[in-house]
Amino acid sequence: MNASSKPKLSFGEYLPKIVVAPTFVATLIFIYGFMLWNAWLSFSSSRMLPKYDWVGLKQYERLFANDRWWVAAENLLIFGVLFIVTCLVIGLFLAIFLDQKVRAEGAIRTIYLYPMALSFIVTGTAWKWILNPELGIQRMFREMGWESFSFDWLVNSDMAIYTVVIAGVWQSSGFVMALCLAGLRGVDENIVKAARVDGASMPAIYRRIIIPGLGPVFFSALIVLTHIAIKSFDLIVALTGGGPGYATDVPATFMYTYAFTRGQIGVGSAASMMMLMAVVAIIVPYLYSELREKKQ
Amino acid sequence: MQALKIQNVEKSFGAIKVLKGINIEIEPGQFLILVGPSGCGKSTLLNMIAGLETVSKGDIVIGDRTVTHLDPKDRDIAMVFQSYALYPNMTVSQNISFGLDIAKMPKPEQKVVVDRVAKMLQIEPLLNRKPKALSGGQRQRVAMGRALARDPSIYLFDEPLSNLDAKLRVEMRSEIKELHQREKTTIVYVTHDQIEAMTLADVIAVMKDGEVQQFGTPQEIYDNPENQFIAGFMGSPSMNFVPCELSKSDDGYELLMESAGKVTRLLVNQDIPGLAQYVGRSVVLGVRPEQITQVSEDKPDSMVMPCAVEIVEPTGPDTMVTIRLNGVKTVCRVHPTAICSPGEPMFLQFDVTKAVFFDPETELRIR
Repeated sequence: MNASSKPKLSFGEYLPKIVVAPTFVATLIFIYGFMLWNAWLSFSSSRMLPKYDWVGLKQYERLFANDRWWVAAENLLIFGVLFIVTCLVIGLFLAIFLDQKVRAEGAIRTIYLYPMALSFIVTGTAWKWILNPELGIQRMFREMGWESFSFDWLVNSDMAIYTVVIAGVWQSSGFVMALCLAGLRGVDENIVKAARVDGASMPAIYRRIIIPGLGPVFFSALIVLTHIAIKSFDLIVALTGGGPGYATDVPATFMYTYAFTRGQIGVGSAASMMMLMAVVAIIVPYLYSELREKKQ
Repeated sequence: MQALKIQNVEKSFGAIKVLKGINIEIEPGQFLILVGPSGCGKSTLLNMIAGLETVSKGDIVIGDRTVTHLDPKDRDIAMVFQSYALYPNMTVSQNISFGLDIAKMPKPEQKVVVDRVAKMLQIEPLLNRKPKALSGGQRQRVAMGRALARDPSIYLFDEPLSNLDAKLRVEMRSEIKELHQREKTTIVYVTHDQIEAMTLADVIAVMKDGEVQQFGTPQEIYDNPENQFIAGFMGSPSMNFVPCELSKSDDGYELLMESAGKVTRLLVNQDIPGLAQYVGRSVVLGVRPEQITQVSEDKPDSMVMPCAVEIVEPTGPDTMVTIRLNGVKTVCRVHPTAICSPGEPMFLQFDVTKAVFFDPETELRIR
């Protein structure tokens, strides 16, 4: 009995490891392996096809000498900052309004959260029609009689990046709302009562007690939104296609264009390494603080 | 002038009446405790005094002002919550001074108040900490400090000790009492713990089902409960209720008591006119554990009867002995030296001079 039950027990112990192993191997190869491969390519002279030679930082020099890269980087900065800040502000206010015990809260919450269920391709396409001067808002106002009305941001190379912000905010602020709402629900209602007895008005209670208490929520939202912003590719492809010209290029579309359509794999790899560095710069401090908190 | 007057106050949620006409008045400096089982409406009443719940009917008067429909901030009150409700993002001193800051008191004056309160509650070393870094007892002190800083005309306490462990609860209880005696503050205090009510209160309002069952000093309520609910709720271990037959005897009334198969006649040596109409009928005898003791010579008025011991529970100073009287489990408080083992018979002495009687149907006191 004892002899036969022993191996069974150890199989039970190994089972979780066996189940997880294929995913672990796949992650190792397809994420970290390819990251390393990409890093190698960024130090090679690859053009149409990968080459495995060593040219040092030459591809990075070419990248930094490229005007289009700097347009993409600047666009990412504009888009990232506006997208994140607007999402946080709108999401917070939606959550505060929803937390006032409104009727049909469940339905309203679903409506605001629904854009999350769409892919950025769908969002981008829908907003392309809405913002298209010939089809959408501009035409609607002109047909209503306001002949001089003009809203041509989508085709205006100075303003096009802001249409990306609008579409991105529309899609993601519901997500921030959900996070903030969960945070607000976690506030002990006695704290609000105590502050009311202390003489504080509701705006003062939100400003001085509740919103400062949502710090961790904002932090989580910030992390998620930041990496959405850095990775953003499909929204831009669907909404503006990087245009007019390359006015709304971001690093992701830049990388794709160079690596896969213009036969500049080396420059493309260097661009994606820059994006990886940006993500690492945000995620690593986050992981560090998370893990440290768990240890305590 | 009364410090607080609650006049015919009612509260309904839709068709459900949770408070049915409450009338309470207390003097300045009095410590009022609202006590009752959960769901009796005591916390609702406290929230209404605070202005956190609307009043459906009736009036609340604090000092000489009717505050029934005023905002909490205009009522000159401070409140301490069960969950402490400290502001988690502020330090202890910011917590204490928050109300003063809202009232636009200048910072140097705020500091003076914070220092005075911190000294009073001995929390000076904690002033720069966040609530997260405090123990339960410390948080409790800070919550009280926040109330003290505002120096209101009435303090409201909502089960402030319920989240503390037993030892700390006893310590904080006596500190609250000391604070009240020293500062002569007017306090309304909600608890479900009858020991807290007995030890702290100047006056107690025992509540049940949205009504005040009895209003009086702790001793009045302990000695002269209006009905069986109050008698059973106040006191620990609680009063024994023994149903028994009442008959007339030469000296007054007699109760038929059966224990361990033996029937004894227990003489009622009290003058209770109301008992006359219960002769030949059943009444409920209410007798506290400390009124059934071991036999001693210095109580000539007492009755002695043999009982079978079922359970023995030592508490240290006294031992609780459970016997069966007329088929009902009855707890007696016996000196540890006089104790015998479960299953053995024991002579116990009944002091019925302070016993009370209730109508078996209405559960009201027979007087």
